[in-house]
Amino acid sequence: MKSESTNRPRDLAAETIENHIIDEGLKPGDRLPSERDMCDKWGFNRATLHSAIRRLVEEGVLVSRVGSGTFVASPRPVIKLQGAISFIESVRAMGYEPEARVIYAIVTEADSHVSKKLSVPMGTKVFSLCRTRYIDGTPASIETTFIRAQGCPGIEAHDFGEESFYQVLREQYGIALVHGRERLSVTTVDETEAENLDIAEGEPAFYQSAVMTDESGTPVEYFKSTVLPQRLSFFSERHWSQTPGEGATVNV
Amino acid sequence: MSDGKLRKESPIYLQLREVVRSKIEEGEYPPGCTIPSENEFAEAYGINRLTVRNGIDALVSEGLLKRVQGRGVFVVGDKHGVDLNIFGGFRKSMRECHADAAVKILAKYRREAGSKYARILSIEPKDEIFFIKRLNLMNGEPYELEQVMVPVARVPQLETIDLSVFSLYEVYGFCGITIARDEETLSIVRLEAKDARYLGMPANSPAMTLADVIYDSQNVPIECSCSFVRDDRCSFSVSF
Repeated sequence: MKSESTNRPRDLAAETIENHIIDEGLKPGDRLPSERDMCDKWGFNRATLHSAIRRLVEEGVLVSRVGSGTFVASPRPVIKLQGAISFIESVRAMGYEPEARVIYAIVTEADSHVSKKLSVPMGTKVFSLCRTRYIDGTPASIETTFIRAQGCPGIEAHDFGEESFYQVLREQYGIALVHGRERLSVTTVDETEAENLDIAEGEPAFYQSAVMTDESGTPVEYFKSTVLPQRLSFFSERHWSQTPGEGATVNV
Repeated sequence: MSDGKLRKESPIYLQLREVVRSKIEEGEYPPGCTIPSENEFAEAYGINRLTVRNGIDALVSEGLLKRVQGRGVFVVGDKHGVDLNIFGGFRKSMRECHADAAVKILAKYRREAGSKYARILSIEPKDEIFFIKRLNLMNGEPYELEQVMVPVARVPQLETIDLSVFSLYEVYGFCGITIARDEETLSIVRLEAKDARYLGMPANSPAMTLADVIYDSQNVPIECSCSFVRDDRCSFSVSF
C-alpha cells in the first residue's frame, strides 16, 4: 500500500493561503500578496501556487482578476438541498440581488423524456419555461421547467422575468408543489449554455434535476438546471436520530 | 445538454441505443443480466449487425452496459443512489447497501491544525489533529478520495486503531461520542494529476467535491473532511 506521509504541495499551498487569510484578518475584496511575494514568503514554486489558487477559486475562497491580482471572495450564495426555499429567497438571504431573464416560455408537446418524467403520454401539451438566473447581474444558472398545460390555462401570458413561477402556480392555479426528488451531478456547459452564462464552453457545472409532486404524489413539474459552481453552491444539513457505528468496513 | 430526443430520420444505431436504454430504465433488462445478442437484435429489428454493435458500444462507453469477453453484454444498471437525507450519511449508506465496499488508507499522521482547520473544528491553531487520507471503493473500483481531520484531544483512541479494520463511526462509538448532525457543502474542483489517478480519472477532470463537518450531540465539531467523488459511480439525490 502506498503511503503519503506529508501534505502534498498543492494542498499545502492552498491551506497556507487560507491560514494567511484568517491570520491577517483579510475580508472579502482584500487583495492577496503578489504571486511572486507569496512564492518567496512560503517557498512554493510558481506552478504549485497557480494550481492552489485555481483550486481556491473553484472552491469560492478567492477570485482572480486578470491584470489586477487575486482577492478574497465574498461568500457564495448557497442553495439548501432539503426544504422548499426558493432560489430568490436563498440568494436574498445572503444579501445578493437575484434576477431572472426569460429565454422562452411556450406551450409545446411532451417528448419522450419529459413524458416519462411527468408520467403523461408523449405529445401531451406542456408549458415549458426556460430562464437564466442572475446574481447581482452575473449569470449563475439556466433553468428549464415543464408542467402540464392543462392545469394552468393561460400561464404563458405571465412574465416570469418578474413573477415567481411557484407563486403563480400556487395563487392563480391552486397548484402546490410539496414533495420532490432532486438529483445532482457534474456536467459541462454546451455551446448555447456557455453563451447564456457568459462562460467558456466545456466548463464544468452542476446538473440539477427534479420531479416535483403535489400532495397526492402525482408528478406535476419536471425541472433541470445547469448551475455554475463558482456562482452558487449547494448545502445539505442532516440530523442523525440514532447512534451510528454499526457499519462494517471491509479491508482490501 | 441533449434530451436524447429522437426523430424517425435519426441514424438507426442511435434509435437502437435509445430502445435499449429505455428497456434498461423500464426494467425489462434488469441489472446483472445479459441483453440479447447482436444477431437477435439484428433479426428482431431487421437491421445490420454492425449497426447493432455501434448502438450497444455507445451504451457501453456510457457505463450502462458492460461487455464481458465470451459471455455477452451485461446491464450495469443505475448508479448507486445516494440519499443525502439518509440516516448515517453518505459514506455509511454506500457501505450498508453494498457488501463489496472497501477502504484503502493512504495516509494517517498527526499534525498541527493551523488556522483554517482550527476555526472549523473550534480548537486552537497549535492543537494537534489526525490527518487521514483514504480511498473508498465499491466492487474494487474507487469512487471517493477523502481527507479527514479529527482533533487528537477529542478522539485520542484513533492513534492506535487500524482504520482499515474499523470505520471512523465505530471509533466514535468506542469513545462514547454520539454523532448528531452534519453539514455538507458541494462544489466542483478539477483534480490534479495524482488525485485523479487514485480515482482512475484523467488529470484535470472536474469532480464533485464535498466539504463536510460532523458535530456531536453537544454541537462540538468531531471531524471535518473534504472529499472528491466520481459522480459517474454514485449519484446524489435528495427527497423532500
